[in-house]
Amino acid sequence: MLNMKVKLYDLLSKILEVPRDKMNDEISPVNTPTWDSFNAIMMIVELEKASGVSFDMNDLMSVKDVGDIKRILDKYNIKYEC
Amino acid sequence: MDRLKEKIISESDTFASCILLSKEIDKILKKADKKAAILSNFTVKGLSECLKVKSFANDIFLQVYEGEYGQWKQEILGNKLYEFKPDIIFLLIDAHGLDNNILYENDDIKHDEINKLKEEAKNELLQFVNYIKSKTSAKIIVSNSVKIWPPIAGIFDNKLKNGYCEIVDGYNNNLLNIYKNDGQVFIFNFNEWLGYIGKKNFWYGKYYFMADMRLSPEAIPLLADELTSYLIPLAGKKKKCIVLDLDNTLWGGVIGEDGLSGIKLSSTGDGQQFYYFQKLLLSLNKKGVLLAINSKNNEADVKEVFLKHPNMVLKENNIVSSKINWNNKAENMQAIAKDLNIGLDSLLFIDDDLSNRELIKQMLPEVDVLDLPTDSTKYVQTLLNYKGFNTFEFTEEDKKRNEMYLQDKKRNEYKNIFIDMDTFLRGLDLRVSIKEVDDLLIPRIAQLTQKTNQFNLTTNRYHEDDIKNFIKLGDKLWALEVSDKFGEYGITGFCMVKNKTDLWEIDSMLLSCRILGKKVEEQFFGFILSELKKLKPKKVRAYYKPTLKNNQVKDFYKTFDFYKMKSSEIEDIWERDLDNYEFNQHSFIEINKC
Repeated sequence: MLNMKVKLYDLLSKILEVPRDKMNDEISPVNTPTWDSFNAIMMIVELEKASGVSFDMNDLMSVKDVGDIKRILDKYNIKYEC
Repeated sequence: MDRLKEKIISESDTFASCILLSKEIDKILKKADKKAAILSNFTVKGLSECLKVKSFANDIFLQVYEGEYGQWKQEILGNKLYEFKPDIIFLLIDAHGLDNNILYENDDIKHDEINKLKEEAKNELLQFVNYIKSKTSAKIIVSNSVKIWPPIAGIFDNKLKNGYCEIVDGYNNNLLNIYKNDGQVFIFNFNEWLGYIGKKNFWYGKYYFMADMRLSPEAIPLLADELTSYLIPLAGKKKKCIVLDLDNTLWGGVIGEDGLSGIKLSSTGDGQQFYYFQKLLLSLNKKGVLLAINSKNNEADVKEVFLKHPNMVLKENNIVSSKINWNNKAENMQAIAKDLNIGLDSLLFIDDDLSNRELIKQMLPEVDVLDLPTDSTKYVQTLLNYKGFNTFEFTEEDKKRNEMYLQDKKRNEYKNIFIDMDTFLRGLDLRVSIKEVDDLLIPRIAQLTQKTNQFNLTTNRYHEDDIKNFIKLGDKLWALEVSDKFGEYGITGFCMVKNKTDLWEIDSMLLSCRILGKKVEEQFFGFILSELKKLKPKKVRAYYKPTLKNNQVKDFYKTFDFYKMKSSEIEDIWERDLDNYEFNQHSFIEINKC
């Protein structure tokens, strides 16, 4: 599990209902109405499940867009693919 | 639909996947089988979706009403909930006040004050539950309260005059006692369940502080799965019989190769896991679950194990049908269903062999297949977690079921000796009692309306409260009890007639399949017509509502000289006058009117 790459864009595009080829670092709750509080929880649960890591709440609260998610995955040394 | 079900079974393990799958279910345009409402005093967002998905995996098409967040009391007192017409209401109430006040202030609050808090929390809940009861006959599932571990006072908690654990236990026990004999309200042991899946990981975690989700979202699909325990019996999807493989299922090893002394089955040490698995099967059997065998083996070898192995828990008289041969298991499975006169969808198949399981899944998708783990030490836990044997009531018939089916087996052997039907029936010494339904019979009658599929003219499903209500309204309700020289069948038939101004209307007419083929159905209904004639010789109107299973009774009323007045996809309407009706009682059936 830990050596596997997290399929980040697959996962986000499924939850946010944004086509995979439209995914980018700038996607955020501001420009994407489907990024509501419920879907945000879903993203965290799925990312934790896929990576086997439990994120610190402070890190999660700092997320403002997809770029921030990548930054956190890097911080936890989680490999991912876009 | 089947493809979606497969997808659900293989993919519905995470929170997000459940939510996404529920959207696919929402696209199906179909009338709901059952309606469930969820009210809670903590966030269970996503539970509706998960519940729909987990129900779908059990062939239940569920519609869900989710109360507004934090407004369970307003929901109960308002109208929206009742306009939704739920069949079941989940009331997930964690005694919040108890936690906050007692967990943290335990030492400072005086004895009386704590008791008062406990009483208040309980009384408040009772009031609301009673209010729901006054508005609907839906089943009400009330959760008990979670006990957090460890208590602040640590090891000294249970020495305090009002320790935290003692208080929560007291509150929970109180709930149990109040509803012990209530057929409408069931207490969901949320505390124990959460302990089982892990309070440490799923209760008051980071999601509580981020989104007020006391129960972590990862646990929501698990909760939905657990709650299907209530939905399965509610939707009449209960299983009746476990069909068992033998080698490496009931014992370790292969009898044909390892021999009587070589197979693993022991009350201690190696083989213990099989011994306890059999013990569990025996307990289920005593609760009314039938057991059958479907095995590729030499029958003589198997017989030897049943008769001679000192640690065999199951005996031959626990098995109501057995197919031990070299045929394919799908054929055997059909033969077992036919033997017992039950549908394939009432069977659960347990086999350690993956290819046999796949065969049944492919050939007979109606049969439920338990995914037995390769590690036999996990058999017991796996079967314990199977939800299909849950039930809202445990009747006398349930207790006697195994015995009754064994008698059937003997009857069938006896039947083979006779050539013509009448001689056979005469030899049975059939005794039929027809009783007006009273309070004692209500649970069994409700159960019959929920479970009977084949010989059921209208398939109207009723709860105990409905039946009570019909009696109160003055409708005519008759129950049929049958016995013969081999033993008792118990209460196996029901007919309800509504007294309309200018006619009698047959609302329900059903018989358990076990007593068919003995002309009892003719006698039961014939007798009812004669009773109606005595009461008032009005016209009788009867209905046949087709389902996937009741085709055999399509022309039942024709045999009583009813005329088909109207026929449509939804129902056929039959009528006849009673003036000229004469009841022909068979000489070989003795009828007692009680």
